[in-house]
Amino acid sequence: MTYNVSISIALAVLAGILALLTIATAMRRAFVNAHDRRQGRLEAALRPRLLRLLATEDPDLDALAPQGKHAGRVLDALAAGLLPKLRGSDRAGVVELLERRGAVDRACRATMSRRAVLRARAAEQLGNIGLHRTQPDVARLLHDRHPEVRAAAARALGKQGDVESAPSLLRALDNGLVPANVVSMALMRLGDRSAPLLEMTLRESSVPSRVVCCELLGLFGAVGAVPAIAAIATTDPGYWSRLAAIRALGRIGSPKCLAPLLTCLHADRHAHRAEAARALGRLGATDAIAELVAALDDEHDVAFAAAAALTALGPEGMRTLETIGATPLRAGRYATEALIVHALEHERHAPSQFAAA
Amino acid sequence: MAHLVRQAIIDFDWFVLGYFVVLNTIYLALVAIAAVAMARAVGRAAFSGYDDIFANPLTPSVSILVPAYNEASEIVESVRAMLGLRYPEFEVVVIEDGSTDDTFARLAEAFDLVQVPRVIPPLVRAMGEVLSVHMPRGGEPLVVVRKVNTSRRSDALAVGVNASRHSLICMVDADSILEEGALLGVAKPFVDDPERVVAVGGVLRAINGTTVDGGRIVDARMPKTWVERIQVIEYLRAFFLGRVGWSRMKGLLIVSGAFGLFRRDVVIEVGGLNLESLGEDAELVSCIHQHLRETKQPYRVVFASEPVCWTEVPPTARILARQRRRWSYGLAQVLWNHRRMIGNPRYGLIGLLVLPYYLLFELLGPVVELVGLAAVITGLALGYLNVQFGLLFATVSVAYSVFLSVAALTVEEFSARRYRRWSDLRAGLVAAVLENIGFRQLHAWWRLRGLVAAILRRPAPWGAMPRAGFITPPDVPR
Repeated sequence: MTYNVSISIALAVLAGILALLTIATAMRRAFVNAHDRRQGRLEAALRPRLLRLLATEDPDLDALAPQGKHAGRVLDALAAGLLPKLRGSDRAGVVELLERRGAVDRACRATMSRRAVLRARAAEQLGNIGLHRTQPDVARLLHDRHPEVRAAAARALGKQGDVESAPSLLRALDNGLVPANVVSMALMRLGDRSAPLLEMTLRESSVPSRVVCCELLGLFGAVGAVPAIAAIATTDPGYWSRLAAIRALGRIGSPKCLAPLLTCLHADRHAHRAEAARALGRLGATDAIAELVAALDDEHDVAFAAAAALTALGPEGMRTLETIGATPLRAGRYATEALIVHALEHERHAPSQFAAA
Repeated sequence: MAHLVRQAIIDFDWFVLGYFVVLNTIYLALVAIAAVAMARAVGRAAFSGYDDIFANPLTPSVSILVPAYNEASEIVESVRAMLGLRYPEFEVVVIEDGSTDDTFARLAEAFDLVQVPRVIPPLVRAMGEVLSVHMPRGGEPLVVVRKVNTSRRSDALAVGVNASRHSLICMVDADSILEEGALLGVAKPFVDDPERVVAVGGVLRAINGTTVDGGRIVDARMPKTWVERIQVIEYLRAFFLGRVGWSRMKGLLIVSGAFGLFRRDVVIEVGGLNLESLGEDAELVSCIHQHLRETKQPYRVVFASEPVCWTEVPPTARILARQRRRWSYGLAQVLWNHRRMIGNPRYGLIGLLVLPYYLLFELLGPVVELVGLAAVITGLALGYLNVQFGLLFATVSVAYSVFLSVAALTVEEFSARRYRRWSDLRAGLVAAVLENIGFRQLHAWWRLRGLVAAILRRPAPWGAMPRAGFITPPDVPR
């Protein structure tokens, strides 16, 4: 092959690929535009019928049988999209409609699809539908090879609200199969029924599990778990688990939390001390005022958190801040800032010395 | 002697040809990797879990840092858009960097600002003195810090780092609009892998020509001028797909200062931003790579392909030239500051592949391109090279590049599809051609000037970019 022919072939190939790309781009645009228009028309026709049907006393779900496979899929998508916004009998009606149309069985089968996208989408759909009988299909996906599918399954288990899923979720977290944030949200959706299991897990799990368990027990206000959480807050070797435990003690808000939090106010790490100051503010513990005042001389983030905490301790805390704010000390600057910001947050006018700029 | 000159020109021209083949093939590989990643991202968009991140009280909080210098035309709209972002807990810290226009006055009026005695500790080095700090009545999460201008964006950001209070810091340009879910998207990698992810870059798109209403993008359109349209294609190919590709290869070096999210403790640990650097974003990421590699800490720097920040690009060639000179200058500084990482296996892929790529193809690219073009023209004019070589050169350097830009447009069409009009697609295709005929050579010239200025240590090529302001619905031509 001569040099000239090689160049001509290279040019022709490149020109051909360019033309193909341009045509593919234009065809894609034409196809998607046409699809969107068709979809829009179908949705506009089906949505009012679906809503009217749900508004009737005894809906005849079979009356809503659209013509054609595509229209059926649009109806299923419309109905599934409504689920997160519905409660009570309306929700039950939509679930029944989806069951009758075979959408639930199709989703269960799709959990075994070869395509990760379809498995994840199926998990999402089954989570929204929330039927107890589909829980094993979704739970199986917690061990899927694809991380996005595992995360979708964890979210779905949370939405299904079945407390039996809690051990699987915690195991998935412990084994590093699902991110902590996803598991925490799923467990939060299961509610405080999972608190006893969380408390048990607290003692024998990895750092991410201890973090999630502490945070959730704090959010659930699990007073019974205070001794275990306090032990983590004061002695755990994990940086993140200690932080989560301190935060949890503040959220639980029991008087039993005061002593461990005061201990944490003297922790080695400034992030732990700052979190302890915030937690004491949340606790509303006026007994901690003297310790918080001392923390105003600590590192920046501790001093800032301590000043903000004092504003949360009612008139006594505010009076203390005003006294300190009147001094030219470093602590006074944090006290003044906290007072002004507190006033602004409550839509009051700031003191005259900080007049509008 | 004449024979030697002839042979030298021919050899150099073949070298330049090979250089273009390698450069464009690297781009092709990046676009191909990005295309696969984008296809996956589109498929999983429906189950991304953003609602859970938003609803979860344990999601990390964010301080959005907005350096603002003479941004009066857009600042209120930008800040409103940021305050309306969908995210559980965040604050917006505007660093008003000694503006000579009424940037601050507009903010003060729009948000009813009150001066507060906020304590700003010197956690990282900053030069410009803080004059005052202001917050709105009513408790909106907005902080406005006024400081003395030092002609350094990095200094404003450093003050912002010191003034911020949350665990993640997001750097955003004041002339930018973030999409409502952008912060959730850019925070997702931190949420999924909180112990290792230290920085996340977000997608940038040109806002010129696009209609904004109430801080929201309501109609994405191609800009009117070709300089802006070419930048749309360039942002798409290089700053979007290119970075998705590098991120997939675990070799992301640049998290744009216009939209990037960082772990605050890591930024403080590496000493903050380099105030002498013009490429403070690349410098910061390079410092993070260097520090965490040297201290053997596991970490990830990633690019999130979904969140979008719309930013104003230079509307004229003159302003664009100044911006690109500055970028080239900044890149030279970054590579010089981190020269011991280049080719050093201790720094993994960053040392062995990414930094050498930036040195050979990004920094020295304009030298090879312009000298190579001159050598090819000379070779052809003197008859040292035949027309076939000229054709081959044009194929490799121009047609291959046009192909890459069109491929980027195709990936966009099959994934994000932000520009919906046929006229936008036509303009994009024409811009993909124009980018490589004329603009690219001009661009190489601007970059070369930036490189020369950096080598000669001339004063940095600063200069304000006049803002046109956002297009709002009544301004849209009917």
